[in-house]
Amino acid sequence: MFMPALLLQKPHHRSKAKEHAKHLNRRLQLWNEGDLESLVEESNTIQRQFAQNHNSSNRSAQQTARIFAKLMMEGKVRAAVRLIAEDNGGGPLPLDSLVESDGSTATPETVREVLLKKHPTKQQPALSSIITPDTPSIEPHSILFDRINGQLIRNTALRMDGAAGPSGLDAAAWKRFCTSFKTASADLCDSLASTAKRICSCYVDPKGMRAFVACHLIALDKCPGVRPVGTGETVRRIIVKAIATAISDDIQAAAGPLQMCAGHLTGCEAAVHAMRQVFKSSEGGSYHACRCCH
Amino acid sequence: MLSLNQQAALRNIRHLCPSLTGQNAFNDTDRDLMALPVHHGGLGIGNPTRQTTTQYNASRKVTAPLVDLIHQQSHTYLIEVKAEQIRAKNNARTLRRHHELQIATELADKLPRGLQRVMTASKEKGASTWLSTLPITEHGFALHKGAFWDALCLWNGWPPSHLPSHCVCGKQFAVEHVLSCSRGGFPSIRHNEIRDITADL
Repeated sequence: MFMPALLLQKPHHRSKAKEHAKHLNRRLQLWNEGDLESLVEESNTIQRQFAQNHNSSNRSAQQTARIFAKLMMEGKVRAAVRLIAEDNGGGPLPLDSLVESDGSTATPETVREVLLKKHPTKQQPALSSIITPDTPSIEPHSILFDRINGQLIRNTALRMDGAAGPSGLDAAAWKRFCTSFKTASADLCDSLASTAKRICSCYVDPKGMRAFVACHLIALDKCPGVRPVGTGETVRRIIVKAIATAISDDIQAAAGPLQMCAGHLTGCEAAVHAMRQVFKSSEGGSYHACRCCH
Repeated sequence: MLSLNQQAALRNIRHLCPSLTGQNAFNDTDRDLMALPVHHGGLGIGNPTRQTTTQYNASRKVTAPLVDLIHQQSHTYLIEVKAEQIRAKNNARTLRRHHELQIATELADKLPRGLQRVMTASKEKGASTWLSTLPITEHGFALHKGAFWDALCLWNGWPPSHLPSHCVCGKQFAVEHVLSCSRGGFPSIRHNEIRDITADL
């Protein structure tokens, strides 16, 4: 999981392809020898060289315009729009930085302490959520997932967007993997499709899925406050999105019309219109708005 | 009497259009032309004050089946509901396209002859793709500000800025003359670009 992050780091921001190849060969040799300590030390040294201050509040309008144009020229439209959105808040917070107290403590707390506080405590599971041996269940037939193929995985990867999980491979990297290497890309897409079909149709030991479901916890600056955000692996998002595309109608039918997060056509728009009509009508008053706005 | 929001929207668009196109003088016909979709010769920068009512009504029609289910607090979602919504969406799209075609036809009658030819040329397949493609540098789709302004001037028949007064052949400098003048150099440049692209293939 850490192999891409340790082996593929650029030595400095102006390095060229020849230097990358030279460093990659050296790092692969260290990896094969098992010398992970040297690789981690090298990686930490490169990270320390980055400019400390990426805070958007210190960026001038001209710098913002330049970064916006650069992101648009790379085709990263969503990142470009997020850059100039005023309600963006702050960026990620280091774990040991201090944040303002929310009033429950007298002294400022570290980001790590705030995140630990937000984590729910262990509880006994509710009996209704446990599947007992005599619970009736309807196993979907595996033919339902037969339409998940390499082409669907490839199309899904091209529509992906977002940050990297613990492995360090973001959506842009996976787009390259799935499209730029001829037969190797086709084989990769077919393998991901087979993985998706296997996960859907038979039991897979959870221990074997640990890297797949690994998640990267990031603390974002809520200005003020801390927002915990979990970023899962991109490959997990690709496979899950492909599965959801294959069985979208069944998911929407199972969720019902009140759960708009299931991907209903114009779901949120319909919720807004429905609430608007309720508030305008003569009955008005209380309504189960929370039930339809999950 | 326009509301404060409508006035603010109009003001912003009136500042946006000159900076986007490099043209200082903008009348209502130019603004209406910009509001048309690119395949009708416009830039796709819609006028919110004119589109909101149509779009709101279309939104109400498309969401109506789902809104009824929310009012009933029903837990059953049938596939027919989605089919009905898709039909309503297609109807709204057809109506919108018909409305755009009507506006484009009415506008074409008001425009000078040169701009009418431009609008006809923009309806050719692929002619307006350069306006709707993402400006990705890696694929050579990015235009810098000056190139974009010049391309827009050629597209809309506006005179580009900072032109010399005379061509090297001695004649008055006009876009149509310069693109075909054998002494000016543009035909050679066009020929060489095609030659280079063919050689790269």
